[in-house]
Amino acid sequence: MKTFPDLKNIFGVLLLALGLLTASAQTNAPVSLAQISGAMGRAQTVFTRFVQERHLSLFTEPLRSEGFLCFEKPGRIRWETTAPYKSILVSDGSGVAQFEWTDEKWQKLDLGLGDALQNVVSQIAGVMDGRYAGDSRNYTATVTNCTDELVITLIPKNETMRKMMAAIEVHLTADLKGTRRVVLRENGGDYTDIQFSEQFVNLELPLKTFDRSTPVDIEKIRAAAANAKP
Amino acid sequence: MPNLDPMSFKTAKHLLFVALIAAFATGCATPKHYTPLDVLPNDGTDRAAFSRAKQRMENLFPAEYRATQRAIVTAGGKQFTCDGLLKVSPAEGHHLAIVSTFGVVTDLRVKADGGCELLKVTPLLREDWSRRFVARDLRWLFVAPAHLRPAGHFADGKLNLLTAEDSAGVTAQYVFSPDGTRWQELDLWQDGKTFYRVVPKHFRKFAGTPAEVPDEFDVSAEAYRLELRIAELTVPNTEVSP
Repeated sequence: MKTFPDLKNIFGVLLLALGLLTASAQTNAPVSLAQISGAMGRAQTVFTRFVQERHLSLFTEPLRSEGFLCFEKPGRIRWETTAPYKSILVSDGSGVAQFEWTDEKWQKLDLGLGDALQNVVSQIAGVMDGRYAGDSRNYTATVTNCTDELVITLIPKNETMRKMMAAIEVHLTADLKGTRRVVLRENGGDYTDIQFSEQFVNLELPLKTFDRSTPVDIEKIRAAAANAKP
Repeated sequence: MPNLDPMSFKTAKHLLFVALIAAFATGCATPKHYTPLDVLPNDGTDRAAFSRAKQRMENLFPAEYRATQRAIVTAGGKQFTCDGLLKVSPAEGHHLAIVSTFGVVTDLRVKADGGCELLKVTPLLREDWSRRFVARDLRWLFVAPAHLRPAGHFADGKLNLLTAEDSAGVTAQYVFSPDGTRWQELDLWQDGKTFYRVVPKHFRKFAGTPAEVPDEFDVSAEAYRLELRIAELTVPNTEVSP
């Protein structure tokens, strides 16, 4: 289940985590938020495939979707769902647009709450500045070293926020070179599990990747990634 | 630093709530009505076609399935998207959760007896709106109508079938192709006026469905327009579709 804070945290934490891809650390020692902040600053762009599952407490099977996430400094975001439907939420840093694939073509929506969505996306983009990770005021962070992975658990300090979001887990490979998944746990048993693969950092993204009028086709971005090294 | 303080979440939810209030209030203030379709009385011919239409409607969707939906809601001139997760079984009825970018909008069940059970109320949609709008969409799009009877032909040969008037005075008019094989429209009437129109589109088979089902509905109602797609439909013990 994705809530408004979820949305920020989904993007924010996963970008935070993906920023670790640029870190050269070869250790499985606990990682502080300050270290994460430093690592994040090195990522100019991020491109990754995702599979998202929203586990709703009243359903036995999750609501599943998959697609691609693109990020480019200083605040460009593209969250594209490719299955089971096609949808693009994109921000060029100054505004946000949404497209839905209907009747074999992209339909640009006359978006309600555009300002609120832009606010969300702007804050997500701000994560790449590293200030989010460097902030210990809002979260208590713990790091757990498992056999083959490292799990960072963020617990909101604010009680009101904690009522909505119990914890955020970031699962990293033990060498910190990859992010496996981000889990957002809510009170009441609902949670969102996002798994990542095919991650590229500092990939040169095609023009119009973040265009709010006619964003470039995802296949062109994938082709650019195919020619690069993960 | 990114503003992750709880107040911003509250503000956003408040914004959505206000937007929906404005949208629905605007829509309710200017109710939409549609020109009723002229019907020729049923003269007893085409019994086979009427029988096919009735049977088709009663068995449109499998008795048990799970569907992922994608919806675009237009209200007050603005558009919002949300996902739906629908689980249907004879024992549990029609269980639907709607999830938006801002969180779970509602979670409800239309039981086999037609009653609505609201399972989760959230700040994003008022309880009475869940019952009034969401349950209505779920009921008329996915639940087989009871006591459908032949009512006549349209001038172009299409079939007209009606339900009995319910306790709220609402009658449903189904329009079928002349041979009774294809559902083409649904109108809801009240006080002689049509206030809700559904056009099913893009009929196709999903794995496990014995016949083609609409994978999209275009709904025009008093306060909103709903474009609903079935992105995925899975029948137990069959392969995942599409």
